[in-house]
Order: sequence, then C-alpha cells, then structure tokens
Amino acid sequence: MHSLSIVVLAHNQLAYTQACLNSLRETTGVRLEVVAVDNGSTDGTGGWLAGRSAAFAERGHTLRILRNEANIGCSTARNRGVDCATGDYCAFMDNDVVAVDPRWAVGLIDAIERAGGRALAGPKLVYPVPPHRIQCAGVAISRTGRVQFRGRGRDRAEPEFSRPLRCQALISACMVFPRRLFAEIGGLDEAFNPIEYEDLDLCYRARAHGYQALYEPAVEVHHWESITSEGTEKLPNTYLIIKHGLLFKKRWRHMFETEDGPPDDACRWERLEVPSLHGRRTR
Amino acid sequence: MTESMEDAVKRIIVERCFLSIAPEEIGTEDDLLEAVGLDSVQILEVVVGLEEVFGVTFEDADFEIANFASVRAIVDYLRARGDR
Repeated sequence: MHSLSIVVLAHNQLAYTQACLNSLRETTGVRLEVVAVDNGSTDGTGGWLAGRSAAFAERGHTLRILRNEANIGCSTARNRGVDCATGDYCAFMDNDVVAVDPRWAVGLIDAIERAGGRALAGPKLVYPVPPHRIQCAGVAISRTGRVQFRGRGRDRAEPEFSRPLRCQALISACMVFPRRLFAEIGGLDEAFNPIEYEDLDLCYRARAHGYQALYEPAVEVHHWESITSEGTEKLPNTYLIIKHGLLFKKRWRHMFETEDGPPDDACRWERLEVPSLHGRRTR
Repeated sequence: MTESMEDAVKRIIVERCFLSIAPEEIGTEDDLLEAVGLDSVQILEVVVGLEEVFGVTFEDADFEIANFASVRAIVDYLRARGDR
C-alpha cells in the first residue's frame, strides 16, 4: 500500500475546510497523512483543526497541523507542508475541494504508476452541485502562453473530457505527485507568492525534468473554485495576475511554442455563475 | 497617416482581448475594468501586447492597476517611461 501525504492549505473559510477534511478522512487504499497548513486563519480554523486528530487516528490516518501566524503565501506554505511530509506520494488539495470518492487517491497514484512513476496526476474537477459541470479537466496553454481550464462549464460526461490525457499542466486544487519530485526540482517557486501561476510553473518545471502531467478523468473530485484565495482579505488579484502571468509566460515561452496548445481565442476566461455554500456567485 | 499612441493602445486592447467592438468605441478615459469590462487576465494580455508593440519591458513595480486603468493611464505611463 502506498503512503500519501496531502497538504491542505487553509486561510479562513472554515466551513469549506471542514467539508474538505471530513471527506479526506474517508479516503481508503493508502496510508494517509494530512498536513493541514493553517495560513494565519482568524476564524477558528486553528481550534477546529486541533480537535480533529483523534477522528483521523480512528481511521488509521495521521493529521498534522502546521500553524503560520500570518499568511506567508501559497508557495512557501505548501513547501513547508511538503518538507514535513513522510509519504511516498504527496498531494496538494485546496480547502474548497471535497473528495467524494474514497478511492480518489488510489486512482491518481495508479495513473502515475502506469506512466512509470515520473508524473503528476490530477482528477476531473467538477462543481459540487448538480449537474456537476466541469470546473477543470487539466490545463491547456496556447503558443503565446494563454491559459485554458479545459472543459470549464461543460458537461462532465462529454467524451472529450472523459479520456485520460497527457496535458500541459494541472492546478493545485488537487494534484498528486511522488514526494521525490520536490527534492529534484526544489519545490514551488516562492517568487509566485502569495498566489497565482505557482502550480502551472511547478508542472512546467517538473516536465522539464522529464515528468508528465496526467489528467485522469476516472477520478472525479468536487471543487467550489477560488474559495481558498477568496478567504484572503484584499488580495491584489489583478496586480498578481499581471506580475506572475508575465513571469510564467516569459519563463516557459520556449516550451509553449513547441506544444500543440489551443488557439489564443479558445483561452478566454468565460464568466460563469458558480455555486458556493452561500449561494451563487459569478467567476 | 501614422497611428496615434491612443489608437494603437485601443487596437491592442480589442485585438488581444478578442473584443467584438471597434477600437474607436473605447473612450480614452473609459475605465478598462468597469466600463470596458476587462478582467485581470485580459489586462495581462494587454500588457503583453504593449511590450511587443512598444518595445518596453515592464518591471514588477509597474503593475499597479492604476497604470492600466484606462487608455489615458496607459498612454501617460508609456510616455513617462519614454522620458526616463
């Protein structure tokens, strides 16, 4: 049986964190360690996490809690989580993800093993309310570096998004990888703190080291989308998207130009009404 | 006739953001986020276009949204850079 350490980053949004960790507690088929990184929450997240260790131990799992007094940024927080992880495999999971299938981790690890072990794998991410439209079916990137969340807003049963795929990148809402990957490539680049593009950059750096990025549609995971960052007060999103987007584009332009990515005009971010625990919102 | 800097910026916005309007429909003072309706990712593509067309390189300190709030703000900013 493989061992898996899941690094869950939380900054406030306790109700989502509760749903996420309660679902992870039901995970089967792996020796499970959850590393919950409380990134300076002020809404009771820390206290709730502290009381959950016994519930994980009941299932034979381990819950570790890392507490940062302030929000130190996603890359740094996740790197610290991986630093203290012990599993053969690691996963990143956002606190607005719910693992509805207890075998989700086995499905992603099997995909990596079938590919020879040098791979990252991500599931079909779908919105948590019926009809469970696709939130992200892997990431595609145009020759000029425009990002497309494959399938976003589309029917989850569409054949195009029901086939396993070697894709260009995955998002950190849910991705699994061998822990040794971090020793090889040095973890998430903290130049992308506090957030934006750090996960896509990780995938490209991994691929530059011979890893594959695998989309595994047989595993479905629920994702509310962007709740993790919305828990952060006054995050200057436009500034970060410009700054980090340019860094990402310039760093990997030489790879985009050799890949069979989608055309630029297929990479527009469609504004959708998406669900939340508190009603619908536009994203 | 040589294209003015304002017109060039408007053309970049329409082309890079795949807007279904004519460049001249964008007012020079229009708020690009609120009035034109651009999102953060589209602003990023405008910045890429500005770099390519005007041969400038933006640095981290340049990404304040105020510099990209309108065509006027962009033009003023580009001219100020030219004076550096």
